[in-house]
Amino acid sequence: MALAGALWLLLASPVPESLNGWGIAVVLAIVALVVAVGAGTGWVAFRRAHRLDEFSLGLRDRAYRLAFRMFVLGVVLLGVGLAVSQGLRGEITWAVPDPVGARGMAAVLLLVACLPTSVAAWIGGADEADPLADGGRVRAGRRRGRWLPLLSVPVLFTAWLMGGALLPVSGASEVTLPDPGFAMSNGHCGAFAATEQVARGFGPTVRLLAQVCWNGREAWVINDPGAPTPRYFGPVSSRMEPALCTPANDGTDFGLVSRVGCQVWIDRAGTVNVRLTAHAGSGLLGIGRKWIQITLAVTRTGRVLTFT
Amino acid sequence: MTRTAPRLSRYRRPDFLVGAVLVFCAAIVPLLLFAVPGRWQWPEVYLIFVVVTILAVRVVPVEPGALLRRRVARRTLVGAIVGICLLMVIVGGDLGDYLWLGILGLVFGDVLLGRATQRMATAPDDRVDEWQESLRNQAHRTAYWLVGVGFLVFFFGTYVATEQTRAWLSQGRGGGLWIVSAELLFCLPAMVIAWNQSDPVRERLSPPWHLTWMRRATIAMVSVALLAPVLASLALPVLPITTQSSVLPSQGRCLTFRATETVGILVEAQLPIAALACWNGRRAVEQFGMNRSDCTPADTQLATVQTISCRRTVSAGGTLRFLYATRVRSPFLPFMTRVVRLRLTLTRTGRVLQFP
Repeated sequence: MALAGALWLLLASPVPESLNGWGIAVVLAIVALVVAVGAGTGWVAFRRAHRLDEFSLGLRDRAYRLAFRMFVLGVVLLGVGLAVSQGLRGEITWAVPDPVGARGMAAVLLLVACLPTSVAAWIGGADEADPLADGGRVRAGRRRGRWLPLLSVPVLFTAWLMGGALLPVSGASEVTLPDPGFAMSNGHCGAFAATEQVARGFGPTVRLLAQVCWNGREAWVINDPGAPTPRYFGPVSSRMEPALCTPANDGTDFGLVSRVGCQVWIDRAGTVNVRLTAHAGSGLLGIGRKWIQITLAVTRTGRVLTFT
Repeated sequence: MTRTAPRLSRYRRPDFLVGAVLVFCAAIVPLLLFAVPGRWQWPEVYLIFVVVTILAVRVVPVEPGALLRRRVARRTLVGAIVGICLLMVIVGGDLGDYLWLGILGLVFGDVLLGRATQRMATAPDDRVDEWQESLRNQAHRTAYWLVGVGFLVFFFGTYVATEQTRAWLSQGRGGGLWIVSAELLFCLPAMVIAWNQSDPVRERLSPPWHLTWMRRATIAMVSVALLAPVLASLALPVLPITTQSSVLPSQGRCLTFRATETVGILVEAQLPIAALACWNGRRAVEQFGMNRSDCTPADTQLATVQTISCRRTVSAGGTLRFLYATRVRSPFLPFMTRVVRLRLTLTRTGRVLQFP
C-alpha cells in the first residue's frame, strides 16, 4: 500500500518534470500492487451487499466514506502540483491548452479505480476485510478467481501499445494575434503554438512554440537564438524561452522523443519558414515509433501560408 | 412556581447589533491593524475574514427547520443545486461576469444543504449515532460511484475525444466547469444524504441550541461577509482614483514615464504604464511601453478589467499621444463600473502636456 501510494505521488507530483517514458511502467506497477491488495481483501469494495456479512458491509461503506475524502484530497494535491508545475516552468499563455496532461489524467483515473480497495485493506486489514476468509472452507476456485483482475495489467499494457501504434497522431494548433508576450513599434507580432500527440497524449508529445514578427518587408522568428536575423530590421535581442522546437515538457512521460530537428529560414520573398521534425515512440521495444513533422510559414505581411 | 423568560428581551438586543460589536472587536480590529500599515491588501483581509466566518458557522449547531425537515423541500433544494451546476457547465462562459451570481447561488444552496442535513456528512464520529453513521457511509458510497462514473465518462471522455473537446475542457467554459467540480467534490455526499433522508427528519445531531453569543456573532459575521463585496461594488464608481506617477529623464532626448492608477477598495484594480518616449525637434516617438501588449492591468482584486482603448498616435505637428482606457467592473454587481484613463501627451520639443 505504501509503495503504491509513493508511486502515485511520483505520478501526480510535478517533480521530476518528465518520467522519460516510464509513465506506463509506474501506472502498471500501481495497478498490480492494488490488485494484490484487492485479492487479499476479497474485493470487498466491489461486492454486492447480499454477498457480505454485517461487518464486511459496514467496513465497505466506511471505506467508501474515507475513500471519498481521500479522493478529494488527491484531486486537491494534484491541483497544487499543477500550479507548482506551471510556476516552475513558467506558464505560456498562448500554448495549445491541455487541462491536466496525460500524467495528471492517469493519476486521477488511478485514484478513482483504486482508492476504495486500498482504503478497505488499510482500515480492515486483509484478513478482517476478506469476506471469503471463513476458516479455510472457501473453495480454492473462488480464491483463485480473485486474482483474475491481475489480467488488467497485460490488458492495459497491450491497449496502450495498440493505441500508440494504431491511433493516428493528433495535432492541434493555436494562433494568437497579436503576440501577448511581445510587441514592437514598427511591426506586428503573433504567437504560433502547435502540438502533435501520439495516443491522444498517452504517448510522446512534440511541441512547436514560435513567436513571429513581420514588418511588410520580411517575417522572422524572435524566440530562437539560432534563427536567422531579419535583413532590413537589424539584430533582434533574442529571448531564449520558450524554446522554439521542443518535446513538450510533459510530453515525455509516456514515451520518448528523439532526433528533434528544427529548421528556420527566410526565403527571398521575406516569408519565414519553420520546420520541426522528430521521432516519437513508446520508448519500450521501439514499438509504435512515428515520424512527426510540424511546418509553419508566415509571409512578410503576416499571412499564414501553412501551419500543420 | 416556574418562571418563564420574557420573550421580548430577545428583541431588545437585535442579533445583528450585538454580534456586530463582537465581530468588530474580535475579528475586524485585529485584521485592520494588519491592513492599515499596508502589510496586507484589503482582499487578503477579506479572505481571512471569510475563512474565520466559515469556521465560526461550522461551530454553531444547525437544525433543518420546519421546511427543510420535509423530503420534498430537500429534494427540491438538491434539484436547484444540480440545475445551477448544469447551467454553469453548459453556458458558464457565456454568463460572463454573472458567473458570480451562480457561485453565490451555490454558496446559498450549500448553506441550506448544511442546515437540511445538519452537516451530518462531515460531523465528527462521536456526534452521530449508528443509524446516522450508516446513512452517511452509504451516501458517500453512492457519491463515490457518481463522481467516479462522471469522471470516467465526462472528463476522460472529453479529454481523449478530440482536440476541440480537450480545449473546451481546458477553458472550463469560463471557469464554471471547475467550480462545479469543486461543488460536487465537497458537497455531493451531503446532497445524497438530503435526497435519501427520511420524511420528515426527526433525528437530532446536536442538543437544541439557544440564542447564544456565538450564534449572534456568527450571524453578524455572515452578514458582514456578504455585505462587504456589495458595498465595495457600490463604492467603485464614486471612490477617488489614487495616482502615483513619475517622469524621469533618460539618455539623450528621452523621458521615462511611470504611473499607476488604483481604483476601488476590496473590488480594486491597478493600471500601470511604464514607457519610454523620445523627441528630435520634428516629432516625438515611442520607444517602448505604448503597444497593445502593454495595455494590461498590473493587479486586479475581485474585479474584472476590460481594455476599451489602447491607442498611440503622432499628429501632423509631431505630438505623441497615448491613451489607455479600461473599464473596471465589479463581478458581484456587474452593472457597477468605472472607466479609468491613462493619458500621455508629449510634444516634439519634449514638453509633457499631459500625464497621466
